[in-house]
Amino acid sequence: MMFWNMLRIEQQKLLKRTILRVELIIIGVGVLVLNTLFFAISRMDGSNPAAAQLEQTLVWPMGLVQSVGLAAGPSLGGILIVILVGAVVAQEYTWRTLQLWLSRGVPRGTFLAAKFAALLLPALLLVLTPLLLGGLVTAVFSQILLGHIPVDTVEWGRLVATTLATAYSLLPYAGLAFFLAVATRSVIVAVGGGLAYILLLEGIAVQLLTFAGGIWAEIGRYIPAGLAQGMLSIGTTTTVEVGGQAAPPIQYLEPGAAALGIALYSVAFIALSIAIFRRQDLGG
Amino acid sequence: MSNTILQTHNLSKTFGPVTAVNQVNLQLHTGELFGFLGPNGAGKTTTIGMVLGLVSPSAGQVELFGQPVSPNQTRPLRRVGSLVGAPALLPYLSGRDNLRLLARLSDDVSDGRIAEVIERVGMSDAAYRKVSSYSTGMKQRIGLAAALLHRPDLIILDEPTNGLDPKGMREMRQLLRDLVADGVTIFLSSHLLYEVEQICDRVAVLNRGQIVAQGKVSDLLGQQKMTVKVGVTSPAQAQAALQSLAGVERLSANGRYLEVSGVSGEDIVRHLVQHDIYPGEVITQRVDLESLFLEMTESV
Repeated sequence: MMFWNMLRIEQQKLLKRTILRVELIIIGVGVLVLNTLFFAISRMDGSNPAAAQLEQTLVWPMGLVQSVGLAAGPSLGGILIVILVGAVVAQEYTWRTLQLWLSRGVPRGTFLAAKFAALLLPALLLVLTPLLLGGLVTAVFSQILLGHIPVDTVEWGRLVATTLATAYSLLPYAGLAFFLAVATRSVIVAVGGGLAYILLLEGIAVQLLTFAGGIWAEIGRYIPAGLAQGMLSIGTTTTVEVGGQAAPPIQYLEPGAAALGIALYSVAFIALSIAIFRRQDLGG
Repeated sequence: MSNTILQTHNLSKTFGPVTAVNQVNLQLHTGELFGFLGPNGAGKTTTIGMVLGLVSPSAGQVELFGQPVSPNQTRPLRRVGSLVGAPALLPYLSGRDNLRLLARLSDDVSDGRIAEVIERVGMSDAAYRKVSSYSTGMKQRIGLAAALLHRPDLIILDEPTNGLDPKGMREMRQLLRDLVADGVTIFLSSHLLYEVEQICDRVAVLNRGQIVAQGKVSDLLGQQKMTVKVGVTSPAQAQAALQSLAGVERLSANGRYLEVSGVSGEDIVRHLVQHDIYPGEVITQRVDLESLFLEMTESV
């Protein structure tokens, strides 16, 4: 009962945050700008085979999937979720509102679990916004390029699964920012640490591990970006270039195993956060 | 004791080598207004933090309504309202929306109750404004409304008059009296000793983490000797004369005044006249909580 009350409270708090609205605008504008840019590029030299390939991504059904891809964990979605979670969680320490809830008898574990669960809603909104806006703009492009909108070619079930999987791929990044915010009580460290991981560490780690090959390349499949790729790009491989040399292609995990890996990361970050939170002194 | 609502047993808190709270034993009884006094850094807020389950005690324990309280045992806190330090409110919501969120924690807090507490703290006109636009006093009022919202049995207030103007302070005093009349127990930590003396039934004085006095205000003040201030033209001569007066406990000169404790003004005048000294002024100084507080906290 207390958990559900806190979950509703946390959701209301989140939905009234300006930062969430700004992030939804950013990702919405991002998908519109990217699609429009690609459309303009594809129209510059229509005889080029690459342009024809690009056009494929601007019409339904590919246009829908591509738009959602912008919200994936290792992409803009990951960056935005780290900023949102880091700010929302660490600011409660600054505002001392944690003390308000806890001094009313809310158990610490319940409070933190509800807080993380409430973050699933913005994670979903960060994926639905590009899906809707991207769907709209690629519908227009479909009409222009194909003369019709190929609704019958869209695999709706697969689109829903991809959308949910994309939102799910944000969880390890949300978990990391959540953990950093609880452990350090600092917006700067939580957001900065999360962004440093996404923008620097993870990319470098993937390249180095892949280049090292063998067991190291195997490990690369288990970091959050590798797991997200495994879940979102079913059965595909990716080639990474290091110093102009092509490293062996990465064989990502099967979607089920990748989803399990993402769950483990998320649970581990939440469990660590709760363990730390239960020992924190919050006076003064 | 059956009517004990809050009790601490040898409550202690250390931060590294620093002992912030040292073996504090407090007892609050149902329906009383209890004052918690101490200079800055005495350990008041840390003690309150432990009572509210926000800070883990290094030793000792807290009992609320007969049940233990710690950061991981917080159920008794559902019957407690608190306002500790600067009010903790979400700045991007209005005062009323902050209260509406808090109301969701209790089943019996209606919109009518929210309006009632807003009116009680005098914030009806500003309740719809965002908290970020509030003055300190307005935040304090909404913080107090939050503490009252779920009709708690115990209210813990740490410097609740911070940021309030004189009218607000008077309203706060009246509100606290009204709450006690309604049967609510109040734990009030304050620097405003005159206020505490006026409204509290019992007080505890904390200094350097230790309780140096606890009891009824009247008892504590009654234990103190009165001081008589005597204005004379020849203080050295008068001081010499008073040294032979039986019962004098403290005698000091300050300009043309002598401060004497342990004997009454009548005895002093009679004794001085016997020595051909005629005081121009005799003032019996009332012992108040402030002087008691200063004596206790400065002498340790």
